[in-house]
Amino acid sequence: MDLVHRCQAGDEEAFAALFHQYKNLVYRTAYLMLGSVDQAEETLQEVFIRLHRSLSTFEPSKGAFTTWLYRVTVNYCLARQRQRRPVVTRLEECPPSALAEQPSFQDRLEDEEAIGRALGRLSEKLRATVILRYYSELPYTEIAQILNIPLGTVKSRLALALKMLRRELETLTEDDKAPRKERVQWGVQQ
Amino acid sequence: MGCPAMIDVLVAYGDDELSLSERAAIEAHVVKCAVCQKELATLSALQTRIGQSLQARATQVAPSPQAWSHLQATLTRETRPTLVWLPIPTPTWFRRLVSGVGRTNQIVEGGIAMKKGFAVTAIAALVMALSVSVMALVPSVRAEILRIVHGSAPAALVGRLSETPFSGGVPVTMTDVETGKSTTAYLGKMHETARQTVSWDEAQMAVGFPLRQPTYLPDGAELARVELVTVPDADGHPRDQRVELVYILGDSELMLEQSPAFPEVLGPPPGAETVTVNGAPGWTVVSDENSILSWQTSEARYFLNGYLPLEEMLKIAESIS
Repeated sequence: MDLVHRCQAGDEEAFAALFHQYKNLVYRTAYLMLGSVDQAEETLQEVFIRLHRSLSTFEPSKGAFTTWLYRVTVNYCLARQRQRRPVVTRLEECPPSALAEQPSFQDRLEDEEAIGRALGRLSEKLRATVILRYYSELPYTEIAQILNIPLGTVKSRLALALKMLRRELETLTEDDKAPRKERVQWGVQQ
Repeated sequence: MGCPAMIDVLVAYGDDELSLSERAAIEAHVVKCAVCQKELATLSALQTRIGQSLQARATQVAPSPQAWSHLQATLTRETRPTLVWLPIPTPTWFRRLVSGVGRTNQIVEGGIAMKKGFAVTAIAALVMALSVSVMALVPSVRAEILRIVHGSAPAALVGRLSETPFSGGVPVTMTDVETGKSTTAYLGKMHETARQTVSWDEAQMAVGFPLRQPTYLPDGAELARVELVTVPDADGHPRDQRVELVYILGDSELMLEQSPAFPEVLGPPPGAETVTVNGAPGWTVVSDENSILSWQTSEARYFLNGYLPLEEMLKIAESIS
């Protein structure tokens, strides 16, 4: 009998094993979505509490356990994100003369911070889709199941996300020449 | 940018999410279109880089070492049975709280383990409904009703009650009397608690926390007996042990219960007032004839039940060190 079945039968040791097997999956997905280790830890607790309560309702015939687990995790994170207000931060104006060397798009691709900022500026739903594809490396069909959206929507969200990411990384070079505008910082304040 | 019609498809192509025929069509186009070739290369680099960046961020973090123990503690609190010792006879409307299979009716007669949320609601409702007759009840029974709210009553029967099914669990229907909401829960086999009169030394040896006696008692109060109560877990194995010191004071009794401290201090039950005992958080419920005082220190949880004014109860409690 596999772990999930044993958990459904009330085997608490199996539940402990299940936790240790999947804790990183839940924690790291939440961290990437929420941007905070504290909130990732809280999400980990909450997801497994919900799991403990509702594992009996999981039907293997309707999909993989990991799909179900991702769905619970992502839904919790999306709900948390909806409770948060973005912080609008006015960045300092930067005189053009201080930016004589403009990094190229390729340079920006190597800039970890730039990529992080660009990802942070995606909407929660786009970011969730990007994380499930490029971090979790899940197929489009499974992402569709997790997010409960049509396959076509997964494709269009990813296409839109990549367009936006690319534009963020390209226009950063443009904006360096002009006064910076107000921007929304991802995951700064609740 | 590449051909507008191709952009969205190029992303899926880069993710290897196209059918064989779709891939063939893309490749046939890209071979002839320099703009789309460049676009594909840019997208591919971006997709790879995003994946690397996310992986790098994720591997820098991990759950805390305490995550499992924290979860365990939460789950234990959630499924911890709260025992309800019902006065007999049980009002009919209260019996409707648990209905369904015949076995649950039998359980209601002797006592029932209820999840804390329901227990609080049920007992609060019971107390309110019996508000007039409660005063006429034998004070010890009324004290039992009030103590049940915190699950600290001497338990006659203990069983597992959970919202999720478990091996051996019998489905029962539970209805919240205030909201009318019904839910299905699962009730396990009931096990009896054990109660025995012991000496002070025997009680101290049995429990894993230091026992205390008050240095102040009202005039005429005498220690009558020390009782060791062993509460089983849902499977019938000894789980907790607590000690009750029973004092005789005139024609009534004063009872001081001591048990291991909970990991977290529980909040006061409905109708209780918060107090502090030597700086430790606690609560009290006082009526004209009876007082209940509960508090917790770092080493133990205390429950004082007697027919004394609150001031006297606090004086007794504060003399325990």
